[in-house]
Amino acid sequence: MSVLRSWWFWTAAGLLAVVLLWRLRRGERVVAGRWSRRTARLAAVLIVAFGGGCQESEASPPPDATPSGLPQPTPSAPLTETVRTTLAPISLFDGVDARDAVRRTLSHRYGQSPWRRFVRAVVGLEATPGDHSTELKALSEPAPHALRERWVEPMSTLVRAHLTAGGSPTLSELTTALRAAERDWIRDGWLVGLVFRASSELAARPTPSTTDARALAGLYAELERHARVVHAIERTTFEAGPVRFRPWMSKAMRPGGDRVEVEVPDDFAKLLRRELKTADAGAWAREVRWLVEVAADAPEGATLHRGGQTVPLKSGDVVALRRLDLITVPEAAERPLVLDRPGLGHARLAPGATLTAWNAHRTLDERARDRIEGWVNSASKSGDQAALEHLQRELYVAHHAISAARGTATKGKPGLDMLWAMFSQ
Amino acid sequence: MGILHRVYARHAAAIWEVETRLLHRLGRVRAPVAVQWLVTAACELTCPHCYSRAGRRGADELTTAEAKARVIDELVALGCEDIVLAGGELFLRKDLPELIAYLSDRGIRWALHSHGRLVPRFRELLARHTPVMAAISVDGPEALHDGFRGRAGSFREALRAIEVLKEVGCPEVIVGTTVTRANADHVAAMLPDVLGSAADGWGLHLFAPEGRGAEHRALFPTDGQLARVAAFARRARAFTRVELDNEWGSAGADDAHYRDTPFLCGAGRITCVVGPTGEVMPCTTTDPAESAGNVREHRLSDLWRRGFEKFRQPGDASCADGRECWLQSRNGNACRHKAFGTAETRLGPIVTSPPRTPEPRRTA
Repeated sequence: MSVLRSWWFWTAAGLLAVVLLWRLRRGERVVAGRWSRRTARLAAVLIVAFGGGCQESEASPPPDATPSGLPQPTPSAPLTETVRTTLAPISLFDGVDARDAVRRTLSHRYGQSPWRRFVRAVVGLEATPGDHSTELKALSEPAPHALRERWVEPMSTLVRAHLTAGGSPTLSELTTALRAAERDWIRDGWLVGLVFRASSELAARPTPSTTDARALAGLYAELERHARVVHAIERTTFEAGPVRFRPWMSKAMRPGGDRVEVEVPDDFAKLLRRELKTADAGAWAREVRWLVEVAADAPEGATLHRGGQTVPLKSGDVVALRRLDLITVPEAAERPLVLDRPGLGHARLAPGATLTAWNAHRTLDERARDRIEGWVNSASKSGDQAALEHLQRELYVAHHAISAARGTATKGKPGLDMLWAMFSQ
Repeated sequence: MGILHRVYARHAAAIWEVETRLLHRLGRVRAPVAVQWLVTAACELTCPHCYSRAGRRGADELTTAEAKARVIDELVALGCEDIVLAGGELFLRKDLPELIAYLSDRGIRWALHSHGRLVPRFRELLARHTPVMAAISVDGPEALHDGFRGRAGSFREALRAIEVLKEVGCPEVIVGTTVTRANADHVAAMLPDVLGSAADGWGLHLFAPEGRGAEHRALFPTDGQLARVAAFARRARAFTRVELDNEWGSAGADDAHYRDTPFLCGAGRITCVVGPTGEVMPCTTTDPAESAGNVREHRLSDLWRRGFEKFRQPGDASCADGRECWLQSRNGNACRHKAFGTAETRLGPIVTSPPRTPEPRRTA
């Protein structure tokens, strides 16, 4: 340890030894006195802080790396991601009281806040298929007038369009609702999932106009940013200590409504600022990744859109596609863009096409589609674990077949439900 | 405190562990953070995963006087301020109101674990002596839960209990789900009910073959199920307070994806369990060989100070490397390597040779 080579460590150790010897000579207790607990705690802090005692393990390797100690499939060359984007720091608190903003954000996440009530209502409606026209009409009614103007109306409009049979919110409605919620300091992973799900019809169009594709990429960039803030809050919570509830403590009668408030640790805002510089989008960045290689003869102008950044793609690039990514191929391209997925097949994007997580299944060749369908059938009929693992690995393109199979009550339906939740949330 | 506070917050669990061992070397033992007391073995349900083999009331359960003198007063003597009342089903103990009132008099905060059916009946008591935390068991969507618990309507009763607890002002009500092979694939389907309930959080326990659970070892989830539940939890933490509980073991530096504070197995170090008959255990096991003694024969404070020595030593084999749940470890269920990691890390990298596939469908 480098600390053992530092002069101050040995100076401190020498001083400590002198104090102990002096107390020994005077016949006093050396450590086990009334200060022993505090001394032990200080020693424990120092031991852990300098890397002794309990060893901290490394965070898990990037998802496409080979973990040690785990059984590996057939030994052959794995794909390694070569196309990476950078994480721009997020400035969230410019010109506002950071502590107040944090308190408001966390208050939305816990307890019986209007936002939580709204979430509960929508989750219930999403989970039960059927005609919800009455409930959808009444969605915004319980909210106070001020809140309706702020975020309840735009969010209700989005949900109505999303859950009405045959309906689909427009890009404008999706963006308006997301921004309205953010203006009120709502930062919630559920919101990212809702907007992502509600964008399914729009994002499933194989050849949207260039303007629409850019607008969708813009919306997904906003979602990615939102997810990064949520992830930063999670990381901060872990570091600063859990957010605690403060119950109503008065001896007088409890007033109506929810009086439970959250207690935000003192340095939460400061730590959150730091996390915002490096936090990625959490599950939206790390899970449901689909590692593909750009095949030879890639057309000019094929572009990956991720988090507001664009990266030109060329033959031999290996991309780990995420749910909030888009790939566009210009209309003027002379050839289609082909993506190889080892072990599964190919995805082919015609000139003018846009690839999203919602239409990727349509770009697969027949062999790949047959494989996925075979796994879905096997998982659906018997809950076959191996098939579920294959589907989990190919979730980026398998979700459509999984979603279709969930409509039938079979032995394997719960497993498919789990996979669908992993894709859509 | 500044830097020390920051260091402490980041490594609280590790520091706690080292501090416990250092104090032990000095001949001192810190007070337990909380003691769990299984107030009775009585329960009207016979769940196959029950860690306490609950069913009939034990013939020699602690009397009211014994409970007051040998458990509650001893907690005060130890300087322990929190007690978790569980069972069996705690509300089946007839003197429960008297004991809770006594806890309040003695300044001890209480929390509860319950299946929830009887909670509305005790509404007044709960309003007068509100628990600081309550965990209500929900083991699946309605049909699965009721089937598993062997009682129609128990799912609705659990949700009603959560409502009542929030109405009386309990600051933190948690849905507790024990993940088994039978319900692991239903966890996502539970989400609407959990979010739709008034609960503040969702604790995902992992089946441990203790008590009656030892007779149903096949309930331990498959590796694939463990991985899917962990993956689900990683996502759900972005919008609800879902945590993988201690039975899952540590995810190391990835703990932040699964829980609010780093993993720490508290068995015999920061917590212990007092059984219905007064046996003092390191955790919720019914194995008498693990008992540190009985509160009828020794003071709880003495048992705490002198017992559980093996848990307070470094390199304790029964606790693996301090990153494993002791209950799972003693049952040979090392689970974290199977459960944690992203789908890609656990399943291995994408390879250029094709994986095993079912026979492709022939299209006309």
